[in-house]
Amino acid sequence: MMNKILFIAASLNIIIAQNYNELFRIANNHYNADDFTQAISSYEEILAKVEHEDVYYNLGNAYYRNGDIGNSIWAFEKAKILDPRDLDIDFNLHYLKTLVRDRIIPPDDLYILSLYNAMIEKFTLFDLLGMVGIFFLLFGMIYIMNYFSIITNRVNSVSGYMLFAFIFIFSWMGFDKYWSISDRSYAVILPTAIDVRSAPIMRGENVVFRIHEGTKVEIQDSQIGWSEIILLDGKKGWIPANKLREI
Amino acid sequence: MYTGILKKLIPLFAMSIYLQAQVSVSASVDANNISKSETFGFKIIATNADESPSVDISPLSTNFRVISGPAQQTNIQWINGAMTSTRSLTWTLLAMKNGKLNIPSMNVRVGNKNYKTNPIGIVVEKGLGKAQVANLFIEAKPDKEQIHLGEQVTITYRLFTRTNLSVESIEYPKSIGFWSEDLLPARTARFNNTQINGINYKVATLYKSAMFPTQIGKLRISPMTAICNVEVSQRKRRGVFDDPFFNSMFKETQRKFIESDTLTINVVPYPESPPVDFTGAVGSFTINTWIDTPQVSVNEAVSLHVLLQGTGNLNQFKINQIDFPQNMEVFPPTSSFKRDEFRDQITGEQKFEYILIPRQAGSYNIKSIPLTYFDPALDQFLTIKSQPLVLTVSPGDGIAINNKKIKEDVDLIANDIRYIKTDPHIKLNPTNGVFPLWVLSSYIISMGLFMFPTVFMRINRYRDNSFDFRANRAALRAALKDINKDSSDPFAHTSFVMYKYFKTKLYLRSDNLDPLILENILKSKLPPELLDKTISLAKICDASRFSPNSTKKINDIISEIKKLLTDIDKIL
Repeated sequence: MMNKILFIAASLNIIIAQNYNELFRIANNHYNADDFTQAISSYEEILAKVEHEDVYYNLGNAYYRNGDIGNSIWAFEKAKILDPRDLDIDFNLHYLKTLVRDRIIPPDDLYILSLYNAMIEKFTLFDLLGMVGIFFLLFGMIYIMNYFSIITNRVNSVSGYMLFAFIFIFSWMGFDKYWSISDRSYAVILPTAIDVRSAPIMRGENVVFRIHEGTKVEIQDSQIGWSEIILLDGKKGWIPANKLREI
Repeated sequence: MYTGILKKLIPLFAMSIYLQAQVSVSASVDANNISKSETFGFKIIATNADESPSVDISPLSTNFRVISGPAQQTNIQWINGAMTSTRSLTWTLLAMKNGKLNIPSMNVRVGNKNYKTNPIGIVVEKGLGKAQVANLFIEAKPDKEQIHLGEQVTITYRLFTRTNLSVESIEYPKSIGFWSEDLLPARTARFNNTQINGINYKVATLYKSAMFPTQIGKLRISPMTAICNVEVSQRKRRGVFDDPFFNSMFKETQRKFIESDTLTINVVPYPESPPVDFTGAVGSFTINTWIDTPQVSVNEAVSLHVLLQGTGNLNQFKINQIDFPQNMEVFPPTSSFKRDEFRDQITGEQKFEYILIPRQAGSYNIKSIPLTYFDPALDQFLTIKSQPLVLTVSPGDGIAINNKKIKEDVDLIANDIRYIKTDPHIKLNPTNGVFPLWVLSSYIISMGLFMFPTVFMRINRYRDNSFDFRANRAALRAALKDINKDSSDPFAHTSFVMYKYFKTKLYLRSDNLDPLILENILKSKLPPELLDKTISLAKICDASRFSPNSTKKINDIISEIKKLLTDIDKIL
């Protein structure tokens, strides 16, 4: 009985996957035929159910061809989260960012700190967890070899300390990545231009600055219908929540 | 008697609790008859709800636009000991069509239950046009209506009003096919006085944008919309407060939604086909070049500066590739742009800096750099050139690289995004994002490795401790196996196997067994016939060891012993 259920579940999974692959193929055909609106709706339909970096990447391309830079950047940012080392995603995202009107210069970090941040950005959480796992595996092998006296005590202690240091560093990075995923949320501005206000109230006098389509912001707080955003350079304010799309 | 009263009171009490807990949901609007430019409030009230209602307002989007909301409100009242609580959500909506519109019945979720609101009908009168709402409108004014590709069009959005108002929010126009730059920083609208056809107006510039078309055709710029809080003059009141001082305190405001016209800009192609070296510059420019120093040594770096100044689409085109002399290494240029903030026309200067390293001594001519641009004022293409430069390179201490072909950079002709990914076999199943197997297995295997020595040690210890017991259990099997082995002295071997069996089976410490000792030990453990047979076979074996010409054949003895040991094993 159990086997039957498992079999049905597995075949359902395959059927679903095939359906999405078929939809992906159709969406690509729409894109090639310059029917970007239809391509966008097909890609969005896939992404409502499953996530994949290629689908986000293609969605970003379709949005760009349709003249919607905000949503395009959103899609490429999503793709980058899933596959941070893909060069095409990097290239397109970099290209689109040159089209964003706001030039926000973040304050300079220490070299070590920016190196650390760049490293965290290049790995997914699973990459980091996998690396810690591999270091643990090596650690275990060294332990076994030492137990059966295959290696000398000196080799054991040197390699042990090194592996321990690696495990510590990569675990720390893993935790940091996890915290940044779970605690911080980013979003992309969708309208051509939007006034940022000092309080979550629509009033003429409380506009503090204006930002434009495609700018990436961090969401700090939210109230019904409003989001408090902070820019990379520390500027802060409130905008209506429906004017941005959370990454 | 009291019990009778109690019996009557209990259902009443229970009913009051039931009534108190009953949740009801209703919807209302603050005006049923509105004009198209007017906003109205839409409210959903949940009475006696323990938590805020949640509503999906997507059915509204066909006929209405949500201007703001939802605003949340909670009200609790105690009347004669009975508590009534209401929780409400309010949206400000704007009708997008004329005529009789319907706010459909909506699904409201309170706690775990779903409720439906009553549908509401609304009559929307035709929106008042610009002429009719003459006391409040937004004017969108481009400085040109027909432009060439890359030519700047400045669009100014001005708000005209005859009453006092404050601008609540602005939705900026969306333009596809333009590169645009804000000319006016975000700030509160400042009003000045002006006159149109003899009528006094207050006017404020809301937004000013410089737009550069990037494609040919009739390009549309969507309208700018604004929501304003307009002061409404009130009926005259007679009384203590009828004084200009109090007027300011009792002003009533009304929310108005206003929209500018949709603009269409006609982008026409250039009057003549552009020259080959035209890179998209439109406006009026000058070009200047200079080098840091006219004399350097071989392998010494020198900077070549190119400065573009003028008005037009600066920062949106590249200069032509410069034809540098051979034997000179050139690094890709760095570029910087400085805009003059105080003009409506995008004016400024763009600087390029090339680092040149001459690899051979001699005199180098850096040719003049041409710049072809389209001048919209003259309606023709113009080409200007910078001054040619001479760089004298003296032989230095460094080692000159002679007669080597200098490599060239691959120049990009245009920028574009990369093509989509088309692999049709990507894994699109909903299990993505689950812990990958390779990560999990690395942890499990390493845990196994760490536990291995402990497990290994425990197994060894167990084996050592249970040696006797295991030997006891396997005694018969070992004996039957051993007895078949070939030996030079089969009788001695057979008797050894038999004694070994008994020694293991009965946990005996002594190695010196003979039929007599065996009889003593087995006396209490075996039935007499088996005991006799055992002793006799042991005696035969022992006797035959010393008299090889024994009458009985060894094979018969072995099979007898096998059978005997099998029988004994069942008893012991």
